[in-house]
Amino acid sequence: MKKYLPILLMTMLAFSSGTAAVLAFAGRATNSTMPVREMARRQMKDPKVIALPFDLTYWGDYKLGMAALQRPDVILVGPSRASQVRSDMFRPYSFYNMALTAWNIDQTTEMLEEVFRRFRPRVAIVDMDYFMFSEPYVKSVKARDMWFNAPVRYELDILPQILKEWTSNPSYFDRAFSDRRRQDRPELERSLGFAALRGANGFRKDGSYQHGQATFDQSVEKLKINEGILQAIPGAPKVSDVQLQKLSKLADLAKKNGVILIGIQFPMWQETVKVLDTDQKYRQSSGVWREFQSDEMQGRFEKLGIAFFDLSRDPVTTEYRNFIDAAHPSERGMLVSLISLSKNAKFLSILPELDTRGLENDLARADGSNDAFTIYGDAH
Amino acid sequence: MLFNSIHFLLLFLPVTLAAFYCATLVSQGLAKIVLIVASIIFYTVWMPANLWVLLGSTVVTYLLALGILLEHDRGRPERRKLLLVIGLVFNLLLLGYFKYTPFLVETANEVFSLSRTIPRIVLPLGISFFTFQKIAFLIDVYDRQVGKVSFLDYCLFVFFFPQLIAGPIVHHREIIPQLEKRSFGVKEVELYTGITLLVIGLAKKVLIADTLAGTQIAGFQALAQGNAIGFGGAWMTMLSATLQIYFDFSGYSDMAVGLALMFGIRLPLNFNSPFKASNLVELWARWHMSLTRFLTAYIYNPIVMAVSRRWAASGRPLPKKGRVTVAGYFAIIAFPTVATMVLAGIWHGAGFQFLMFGLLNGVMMAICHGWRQFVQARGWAGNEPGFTKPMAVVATFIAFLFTLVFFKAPSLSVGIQMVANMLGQHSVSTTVNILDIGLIAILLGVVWFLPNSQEIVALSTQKRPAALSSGIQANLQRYLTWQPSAGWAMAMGTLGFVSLIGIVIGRESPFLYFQF
Repeated sequence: MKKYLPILLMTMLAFSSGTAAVLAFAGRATNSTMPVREMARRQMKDPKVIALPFDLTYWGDYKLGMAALQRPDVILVGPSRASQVRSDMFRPYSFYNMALTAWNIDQTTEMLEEVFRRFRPRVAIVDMDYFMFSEPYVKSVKARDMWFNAPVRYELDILPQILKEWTSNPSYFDRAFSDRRRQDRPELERSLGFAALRGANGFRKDGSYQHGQATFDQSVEKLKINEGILQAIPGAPKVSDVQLQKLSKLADLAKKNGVILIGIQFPMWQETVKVLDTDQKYRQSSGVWREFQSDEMQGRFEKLGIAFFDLSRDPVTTEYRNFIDAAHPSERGMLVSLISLSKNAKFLSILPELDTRGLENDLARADGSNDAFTIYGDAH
Repeated sequence: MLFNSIHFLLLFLPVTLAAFYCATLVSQGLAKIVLIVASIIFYTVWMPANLWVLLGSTVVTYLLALGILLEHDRGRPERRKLLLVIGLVFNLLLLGYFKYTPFLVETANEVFSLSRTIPRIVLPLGISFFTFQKIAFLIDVYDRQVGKVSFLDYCLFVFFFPQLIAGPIVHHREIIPQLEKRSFGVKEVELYTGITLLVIGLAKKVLIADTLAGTQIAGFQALAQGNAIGFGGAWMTMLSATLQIYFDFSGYSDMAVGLALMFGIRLPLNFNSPFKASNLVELWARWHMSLTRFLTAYIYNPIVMAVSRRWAASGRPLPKKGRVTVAGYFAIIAFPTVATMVLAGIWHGAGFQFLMFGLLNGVMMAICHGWRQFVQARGWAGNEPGFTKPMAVVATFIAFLFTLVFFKAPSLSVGIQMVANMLGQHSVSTTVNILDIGLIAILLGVVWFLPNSQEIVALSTQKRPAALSSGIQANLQRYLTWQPSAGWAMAMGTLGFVSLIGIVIGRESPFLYFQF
């Protein structure tokens, strides 16, 4: 009788240990459990590598490692909307894209604090969207707070994910194991993390996000959903004072570290902007959008020392080729945006050597080959 | 927090159990405080915003109960009654506001062509359950069936986490005396029995109910989009849905009873092989037993009493020795039954489909009562051949399955579409997977022929229907009777591990009754 509970627990422990061992082996064999810093080192050695830690809460740690190894002149911190900015767009400056590591101002500040502890870029660009000043939105992305330097947690988190992945996509593991046996595994070696190998998705060496072709194939359909962004992003009647205070602290952080802070609201599909401007049903929630664009707010950003650029109504927003979906500019969209910014005196005063002519040539070349999504090529 | 979540099973439960055990070594009061705090954390983790509803209504109800007792001692019956009415109205208004406001506004918009904004009200978890518990408590205080209860015991009675979100709807007489006992605390046998029930319940939920969810969701979605699913598709959908509800609720009930046992508290049984019932009245006495008991005591009986008084006052004869006239049957038996079940339907959810669910069950139960009154009581039935009992079991199952269409359907019209498809009204050819049929056949075998969880752990004293208790079954039952042996420990450890893997691979899906 007394042994009932110990035997029951020992049975569970024995099965769990065995399963964990098998999963750990499978993880190692398929590069799935590679620590994020190791991913960064591998990617630095081989530019054809794409990497994707299994959970987005570890992407910050991985990108921090990449940024620290590259020590670029310019960094960009923000959500997925900024993920298609490429390092070539900032020639001759060195650039690293830290998109997909920060969805609100708190997370942006935390990322910059971590960066400044390691190195100080000349310019830090932060994605500053109107919805970052909507409290409901800020709360909705709280779960995406990053984990830094947490290797044990990473290992513990990843084992169940491998199990999940293994049972839902067994072919990936079968392939990975057979590649391993054949000692012929270039695809495996160049895709770090099971999500990278499964979908050919992941971060390139410059930090931009490489999408699978399926994403681009669906882009025109996605653009038909004008309110898409609004369903996913909760608005608010007004700009949050709390978030404004946090922005002030972010600006102070940049100043204290001698880093120039640029804020950009990246383009949004014109039909979505129309909904934000005119839809009566959404009027209450779009108060934050209207207030964010007011002269008063622009003046506040300037006072804080943030060079703010709003591309949400730029001509770039009128062409479908410039978008993957209503909220996500394509690589072409970002290139057109950079060309537009490089003609802005304020922007040019911060990055005077920006190669505008080169960017225009890149655009002409891309349009000639009818490529809107992979102008600067994929990792592999 | 879900019972079937890794956080609950591997963090919350062990920590709470350890803290509770340590606290019992100090004092029972501290142990109760530990359980109350743990229960509040359990509730808050899921939906912190609505904690005030639970806390506020609990405190107000307790104060009203004290007031009722005080007014009784002072000999002021009118004030006593007033306090009871205030308590009932307060609790019902709270339930009505949170549960039915959006539905009422939507209905008013449709009926009167209004365009009022439908309010987005987050339903506080478990409000249907804890409201019923508090109403029962107030009525019993008013009826002097309960004396003064300490605030600590009362809070634990309401908050106790194994039953807080989805029942069983416990009666204070079942719980509070256990809390007042000197022996209140962790006991070895109950701990092991509780763990065993917890593991069995978890397996039912994760390995069976969640596996069945896919088929039925697809069927209802297709109908909601205006597509027919055909005869085969409709029956597969409803068989999957029925078994999913069965194993989901049965799993939840096992886990709730098991968890409570681990803390030394016996909750009432809530689920006792309802599909072994040979008529709907018996089925409801085995399905969500605590709800049926509440409905009988606080709704059905008062309606019967009120109708009987009026009936007698009008000079008409009351039933004697089970004999009743047709008119008497409709007034004293059928009407209270249907009315109670309609209320039960609406209790399950705000929507016309739930009303239909209750109505269908009520009408069929009334027919069962009628059969007893007019056929069996008159000796017109009784010597049926042996096979009629299994046939009755199957017929009851199918009848209940038809009512569950409206329990699962997102709207009344989708429910009607489902019934039409089941009756072959839409000749759409559908491919039915042979593996799905095999799975359903096996699960029906489990439901009909195997002993249930409480029989396995010997919690239940209720005999199983004789017609299904064959020699093979008796042997099976002997073989499947739990003992705290090494073999059972290893079996439960294995089942627990497989269930945990099931949680990791799938996703943590809420129990179906959590939405109520």
